[in-house]
Amino acid sequence: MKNSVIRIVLACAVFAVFSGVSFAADVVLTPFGQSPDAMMVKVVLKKLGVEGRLEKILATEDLQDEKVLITVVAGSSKGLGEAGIDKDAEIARVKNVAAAAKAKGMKVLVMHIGGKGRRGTLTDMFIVEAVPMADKLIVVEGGDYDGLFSGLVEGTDLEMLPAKSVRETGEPLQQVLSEWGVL
Amino acid sequence: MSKNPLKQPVRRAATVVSLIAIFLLLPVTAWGKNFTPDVRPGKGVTEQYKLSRYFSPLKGTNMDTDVFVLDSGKPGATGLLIGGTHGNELAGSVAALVALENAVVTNGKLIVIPYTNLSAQSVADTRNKVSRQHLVRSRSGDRYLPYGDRRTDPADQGSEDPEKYINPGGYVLENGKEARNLNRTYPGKSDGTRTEQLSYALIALIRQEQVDFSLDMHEADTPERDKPDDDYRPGGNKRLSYTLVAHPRGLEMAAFALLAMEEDTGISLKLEESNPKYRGLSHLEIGNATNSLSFLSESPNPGQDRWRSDGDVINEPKYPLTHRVGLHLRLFKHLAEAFVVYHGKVLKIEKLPEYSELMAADIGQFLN
Repeated sequence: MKNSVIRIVLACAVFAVFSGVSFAADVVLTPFGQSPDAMMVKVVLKKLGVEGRLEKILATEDLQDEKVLITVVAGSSKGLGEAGIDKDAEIARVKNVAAAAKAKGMKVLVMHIGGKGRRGTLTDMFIVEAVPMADKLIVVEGGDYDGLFSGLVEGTDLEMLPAKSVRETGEPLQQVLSEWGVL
Repeated sequence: MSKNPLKQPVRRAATVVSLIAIFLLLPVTAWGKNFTPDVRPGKGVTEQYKLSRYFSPLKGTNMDTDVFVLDSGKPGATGLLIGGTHGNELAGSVAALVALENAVVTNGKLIVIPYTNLSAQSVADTRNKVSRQHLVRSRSGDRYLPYGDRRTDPADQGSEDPEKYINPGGYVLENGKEARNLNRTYPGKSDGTRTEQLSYALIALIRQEQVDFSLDMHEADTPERDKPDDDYRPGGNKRLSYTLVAHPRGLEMAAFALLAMEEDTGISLKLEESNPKYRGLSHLEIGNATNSLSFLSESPNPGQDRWRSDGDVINEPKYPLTHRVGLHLRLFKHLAEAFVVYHGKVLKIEKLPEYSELMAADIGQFLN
């Protein structure tokens, strides 16, 4: 009986090492603007074998031992209304969380996956605040149609990784998470 | 008065020809209570009945729409495909027709309602005055697809429109006409208006049939604007077409389906979550009132662009009906696949056309 248990534990350990599956929540996600786009990224992560913890209203004290904070930028008036916060409170929340994450040694990945359709006054306001906090940036085609992201990145060391579609963010995500020791 | 014997056979023949013509055109031309949509079920349909089975007061009214069941007879998930909530959103109804005229279910059960608000389908479009009938060449010859109105025919509502409409969830709509908008009256009321009773009956169906997930197929205006320089997003992110709205319980499943949708069709849809404060909509209320996971899809309909006059709702080059029908049907299929992943129950549908097949042909080739 004891041998069986040991064998099962060993098998699980071997699987964990060789499958590349990240069991602990190495990644925590939060929307910047309260749109559901963060959920799309959570599923992309799942397909990469990474279980991300999604917290809509992530606060500094909610950070655990994650290695990476991903914030997905897209403004939703409806989402903000449901969350009971205004745009200024949302900006303050994410800025505080990002600062606390960096203080803990975490990396911050900013993503915009909604393309042109998600851009607008509200989203643009969040983008301007989000880009400076990023260690890396992933933007889906169309999101930078007017050069907003390119302009914010210009003259900095920040790398902006493009993706043709939400699904295709898997490739740059894998690259970034590998660099940061999650995969 | 003397009769001319030579003219009698001619008159008789003319009468017969007129009666045949009236009979043939009745399904698409008749209005109000005489409206009978042209539905030609395929081999996969195992049962057809009226919605009043779930709420008998609908019997004999213009709200008593047909329900089609494709039952594999094997255990699995039950999915519900809702078309024609709004009569002027053609792709939802036609997607439902393509499903029930082609699909065969090999695990689980599929329930299809092509003309959910039959009353709205029975009257002409009041918003953009889109033509009432649209000719397509089906597998068995010419066939007309009806284009209706957004709301229930006032004659079928059973009461005058209020100045403001307070729906069953207590949400106040400033436009009283919205009392006749099926997608504002969920979860309905047994003693309410006809439209509220229709919602009530649909909720009863979902409960009794233990529907696991549902897709309410809608259309909205296209992303096109009259002038290329016009702001694409007046007031912000107002675009509705190319959106999937999910009940909070189904949000992750929806995200999963959307990624599969991108891979399958190249179509990217925006994910939205039901707003719990905006009561009366199917995607929120079905999920709240039943165990079903509820979703609502929006395709781009040139007929709903206010800047167009009688837009081509079948063959507009950028947004043909095949594209819009493919959007809804493939999305439903990917939701079914996602349901297996997240909930472990299978709804396996065969003989639904692939998106590429739809785009390579005319819509009529997928209709009986």
